[in-house]
Amino acid sequence: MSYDELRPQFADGRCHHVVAAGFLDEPAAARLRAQVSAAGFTLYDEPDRGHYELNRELAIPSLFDDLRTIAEELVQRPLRLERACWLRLRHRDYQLIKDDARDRPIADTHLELTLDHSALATGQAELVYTDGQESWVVPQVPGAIAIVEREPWLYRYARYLNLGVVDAVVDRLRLSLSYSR
Amino acid sequence: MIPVARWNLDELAATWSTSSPFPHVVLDDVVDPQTLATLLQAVSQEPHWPNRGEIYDFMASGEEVTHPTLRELHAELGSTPVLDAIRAISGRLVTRADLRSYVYVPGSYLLPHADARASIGRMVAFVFYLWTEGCEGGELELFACEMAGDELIRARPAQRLVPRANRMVLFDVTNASLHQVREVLAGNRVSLTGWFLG
Repeated sequence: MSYDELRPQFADGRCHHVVAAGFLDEPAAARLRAQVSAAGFTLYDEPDRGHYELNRELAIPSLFDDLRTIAEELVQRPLRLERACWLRLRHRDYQLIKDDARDRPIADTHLELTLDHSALATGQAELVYTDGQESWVVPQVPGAIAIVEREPWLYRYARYLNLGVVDAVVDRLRLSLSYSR
Repeated sequence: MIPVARWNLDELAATWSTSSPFPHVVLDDVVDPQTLATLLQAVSQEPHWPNRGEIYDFMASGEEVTHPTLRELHAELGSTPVLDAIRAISGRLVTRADLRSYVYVPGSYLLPHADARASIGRMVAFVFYLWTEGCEGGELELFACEMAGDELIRARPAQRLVPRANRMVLFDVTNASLHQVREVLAGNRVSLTGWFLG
């Protein structure tokens, strides 16, 4: 899909967001999963906030630059990478708004880019962005990039993964990108 | 329907105040089998809708139950004998009750949360299980919370209460009464649930 097609989709509506499929094919996603698994994860377990695994240490500069460039092309503004976080979720995992609110790396409006490098589509694992009244749902699509403009009033939760996911694992990379001043 | 005159209020009050991780009591064989069957039939005739949000996914009745039997129970929960019993057990000055029915099917859940809402006045929560046959999961899990004022700092699972037909759980509602309904993995879990409010 071209930027000319993505830009109007992104700009449409109150919550600016777009999902672009096909950034990674499965062999590339598998290599990425292996690389992240080798780096290891830490379990995050705070019942009122979330339950999932994460890694904030692993940096893959070439991938991060590629993703930042895509976001820059989309919004046609320079961006700066503020934070990267690798996430892994399975059955019984979730991430609530309370966790997002505490962990939000940038208070101002910024872009949040999520790369899904999972092996399978779970049919669940949606990311839900909400202002408390209205919600915007980002589906889980392996190989896709989701870019969301995080306004200060917009919060995110990752839906609880119930038994329907069976043994599937959701692998994500989340980049927080600030608008350069 | 709810034979509160049979309840040993002193004993329940003692259990309430000494239970952990926060005040609660578990009552078994709450009603006679015929009443239980009547309530279950009423719930089966009550419209339920999917409810899905940040922390929950289940089927629930409307905010006001409509079946005559359930309306009768709702009225009874707000009657003087029941409210007096709840006050005696909990020490909370409850004045009325809310009631809804819930059906959890495999995959349904309610994630950890506390029910306290200053503007609503919830004081004591209750869950009355009507049907749990073949139910795996669906336990009411209570968390021990480390607080700094009203702010929850850390929580850990402390107790799991198994759903059982004709069992009622009453528990205290504060910012520190974090609890969840663990995901139902098989079978159905049917309950009447609500709060006694101030």
